[in-house]
Amino acid sequence: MAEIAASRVPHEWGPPKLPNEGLDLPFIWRALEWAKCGGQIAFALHARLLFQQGDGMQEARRALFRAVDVNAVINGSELRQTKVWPEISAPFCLLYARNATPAPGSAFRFVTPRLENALNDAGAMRIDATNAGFVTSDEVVQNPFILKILARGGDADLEVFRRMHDRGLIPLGQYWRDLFGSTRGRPNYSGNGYQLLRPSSRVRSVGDGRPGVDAAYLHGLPELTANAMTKLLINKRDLNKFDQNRIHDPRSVDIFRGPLLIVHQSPPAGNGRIQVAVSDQDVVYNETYYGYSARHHESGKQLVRYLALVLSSRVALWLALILSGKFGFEREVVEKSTIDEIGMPSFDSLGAASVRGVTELFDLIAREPNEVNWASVDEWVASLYGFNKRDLQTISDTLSYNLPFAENRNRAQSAVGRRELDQFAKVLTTELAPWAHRYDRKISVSVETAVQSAPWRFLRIVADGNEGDSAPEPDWAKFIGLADELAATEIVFPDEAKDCLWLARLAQERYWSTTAARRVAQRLVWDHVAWLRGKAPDASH
Amino acid sequence: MPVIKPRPNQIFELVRGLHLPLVALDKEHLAVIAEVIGEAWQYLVEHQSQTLANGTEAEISTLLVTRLNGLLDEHALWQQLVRSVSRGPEILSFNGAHLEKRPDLAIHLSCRNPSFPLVVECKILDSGTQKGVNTYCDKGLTRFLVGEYAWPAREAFMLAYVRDGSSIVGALSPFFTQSQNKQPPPYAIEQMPDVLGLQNVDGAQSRHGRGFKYLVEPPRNQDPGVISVWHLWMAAA
Repeated sequence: MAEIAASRVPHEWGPPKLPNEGLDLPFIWRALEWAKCGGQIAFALHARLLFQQGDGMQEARRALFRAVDVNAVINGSELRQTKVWPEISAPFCLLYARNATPAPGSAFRFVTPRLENALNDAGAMRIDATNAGFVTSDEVVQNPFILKILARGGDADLEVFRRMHDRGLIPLGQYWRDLFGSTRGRPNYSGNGYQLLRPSSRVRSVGDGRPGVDAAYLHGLPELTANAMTKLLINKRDLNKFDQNRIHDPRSVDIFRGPLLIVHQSPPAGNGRIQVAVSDQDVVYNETYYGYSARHHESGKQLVRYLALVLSSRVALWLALILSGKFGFEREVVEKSTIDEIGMPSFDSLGAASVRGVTELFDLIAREPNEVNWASVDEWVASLYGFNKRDLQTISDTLSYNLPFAENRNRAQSAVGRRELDQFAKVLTTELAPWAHRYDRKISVSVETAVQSAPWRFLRIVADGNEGDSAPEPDWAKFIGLADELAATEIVFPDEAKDCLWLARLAQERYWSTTAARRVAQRLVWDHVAWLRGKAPDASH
Repeated sequence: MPVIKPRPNQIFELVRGLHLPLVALDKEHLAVIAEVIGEAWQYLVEHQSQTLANGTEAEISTLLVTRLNGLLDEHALWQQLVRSVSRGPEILSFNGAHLEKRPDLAIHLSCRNPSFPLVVECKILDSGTQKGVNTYCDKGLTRFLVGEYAWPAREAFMLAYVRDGSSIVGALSPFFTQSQNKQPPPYAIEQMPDVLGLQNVDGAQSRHGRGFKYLVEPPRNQDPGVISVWHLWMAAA
């Protein structure tokens, strides 16, 4: 394999890595030898090739995309456990490639068919042309997260990520190592909670001859309860006394020392946030939580409050969703390694005023955890990352429709309501306004309830109030039949008779978000600028 | 010396599924792009005048790229049309003979495959240092005409960082006119510079024939047609 790679990837990268000891990667490399030069190869593979970040997979992916000219990747990870590929429970992908090194600028189509129960139950899937963009091989080589970002988000998320990436953020795990050192590569004073004694608990060769370990060293400490975690600042009264006699493996007492940040591994599906809490005193927690003890930091209380605000923001869950090698494609829990990978501005870089702001904001949200105050947290964290309101909206839409929980998946497919339609029309009007202003026109968008054709909803875009109502309606049956045949999600129809643009989109809620409206505006600007201008097309430059 | 040979297979894969030349961009979009470049330049004039007056071409182009990317957060029209702007990405020449051609700027449009950015070539114009309009044309414009840059497209931009007070009407147009007397005419001019009437920027658009043929698009040897070059001459001193 090293021999095959030697002629195709830069020498300094060394032999390609083979993470997980899976057989799929060696098979692809050998295929490069078996297939004739320039020949077409196609594989069905585990989707970790696209998304996994640890264990050398970034390097393995980089080498592969530099060695072979990938033409297309269909990411079927959302379709596992559906009838599209019956009895396949693993996240999968289909990779089509040409047996040659990619030319500079070479790009491939990256498609993520979304979960659609009605369609998938019939063994079918929809390839959404509006979400099947090109990715260059160089982009995969340079940005190990790009395919995960596009799979769980889209182009808009990639733009937000790029802006953030330029700001030199430090991953939490790295920051903790820098502050407190590490042991066997793991940051000190941080770790997973204790595990209960279980049938598989081993009897140690040097010990008391019983399974697990004696837990007496933790007796007397309070233990975290699910109820206590419902509040941002843990109240002593909500804690129990730790009373386990034995636990599965020892845990250093140092990870239970306050002031302490505690993170729940499973974000509640409802609110789109990682669940965190702060304890100013010592507290023991079990394996469903991760802890970060700041006892040895001179501003430990402020540090854990800062981390709590950042990690409980929607930005943090979005980062976990788009960057994690596991969360959102094969796991529904946020692993500690994912939390450790979340990049953030260093606490030490905050000025005194910002640190005071941390305490004030934390106290506010601890006292009154309502939507308005959480929005303040999101905005404050967004400002740390250099995000604007538009970026936050992209993040919010991605979390609403692309989190891996049943509630989000159902919402994405559910029938769009009038409120979402009106909001979509409003955003589209706003997005087109600068062009209307440029051409001294007034462009408005209205929801057309008169046109009924499930599963589609219709908008009409008119200029200067010209409704053109006397002209006949388009033959929608014809267009929709064609769109259904092509598995399209969108129809844009320039209606010359009525001097307007019709926009039809599938009536699933995911296609009517604010971010979706902005993308539609972008396409209209490119494809229908002549109509926006109110003149005949002009490409004769 | 490395052997320079065509690599039609590389081109074939790059343009697989596409029809060449790519569909022309609308003049309205190009006008917006030209205006935003002008706005970015105006900002640099106000904040980076030293570098504009004395810096190298690469230094100025880097500043311009940074500003143009910054405008993605501020300018609504720019935000919709452009994904990002980058410096000198590697691109293939029309026949794959050159694998690592690097234009000065690449504007990645939101409507297009990132493999095919809008290509921008930049030149300092400073007659005092032998950087005249002939260099602008021979080392810049010509790259578009022989298929080194922008060969899949029908349009490109050329920016002049003007340090000697030259203007398009006063320098480029007469140079083009004079060049027509040579045999064969070196710049295959189909349309002389047509003034764009932009604010802040001396802008014009010219059209040129191209002297290469596509290797892979059926029918093979298809003519790429003319290229529209948008010249933006911006005062750097």
